[in-house]
Amino acid sequence: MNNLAYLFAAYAFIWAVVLAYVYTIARRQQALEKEIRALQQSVERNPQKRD
Amino acid sequence: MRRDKYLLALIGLTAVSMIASLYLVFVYVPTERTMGLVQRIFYFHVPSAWVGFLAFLVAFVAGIAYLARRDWRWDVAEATSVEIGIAFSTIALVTGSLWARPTWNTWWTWDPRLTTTLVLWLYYVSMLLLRQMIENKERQARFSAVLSIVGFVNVPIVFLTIRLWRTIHPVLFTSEGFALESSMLLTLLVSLLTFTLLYFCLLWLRVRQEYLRAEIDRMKDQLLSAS
Repeated sequence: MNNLAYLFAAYAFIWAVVLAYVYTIARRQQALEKEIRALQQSVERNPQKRD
Repeated sequence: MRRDKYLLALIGLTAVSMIASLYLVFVYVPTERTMGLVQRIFYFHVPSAWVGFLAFLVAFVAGIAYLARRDWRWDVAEATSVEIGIAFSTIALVTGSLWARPTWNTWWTWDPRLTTTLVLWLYYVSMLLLRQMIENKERQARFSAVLSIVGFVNVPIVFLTIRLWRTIHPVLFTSEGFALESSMLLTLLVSLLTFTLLYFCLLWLRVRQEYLRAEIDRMKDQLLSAS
């Protein structure tokens, strides 16, 4: 490996970690939004159970 | 709504700062004479280590605040900050190794700085894994707060290793200031700012997400108790 390859590998790794972390945040957000929709639907189906 | 605006402004500022950093690292700053191109790893390696320290400092403060106030929001700040700290410490360790190979002719050496950084990383990874094993939320938060406070002892040790012990790791901050040429110093400072902004963006997003998770859990409990 020459110097350029190490430099490339280091910056590629940095971006991979940051993007992977942002991706996990986005996935968790999607899951939460799905849960909210399911909760809303269950409240709408059973309006008498709301307090 | 207003909070979202501030978050978007922070993300925008981070993006602009990141573009400026990349320009400085790859276009503006001159190539270092002895190490050559590979020295440019330094401009993102140091800020990654800095964000790791900052994140563990925030976790330390949040841990103390949680034990003092018993407010779950401090636990959220502490756990999310540790999570981000681990990500950036991983970057610091791996980029350090990639820089060490062509300059020290080895991927890894049991140098005090490298060893203490690895210990720091292992400590927080274990802490996060152990935290997830505790089901009771209150116990989980208390346990996590204590470990964050104790774990922070590692941070000054990692920082001081290159001053207290014989090491091959370069010393950046000396008693006379930064041991860097002005254009290199400017590039480093902008990168430090960029990574700090990136840390706060990620922390904000994760904290907001955990608040939403708590709200959902509360709604679920309400629905269950009503049924």
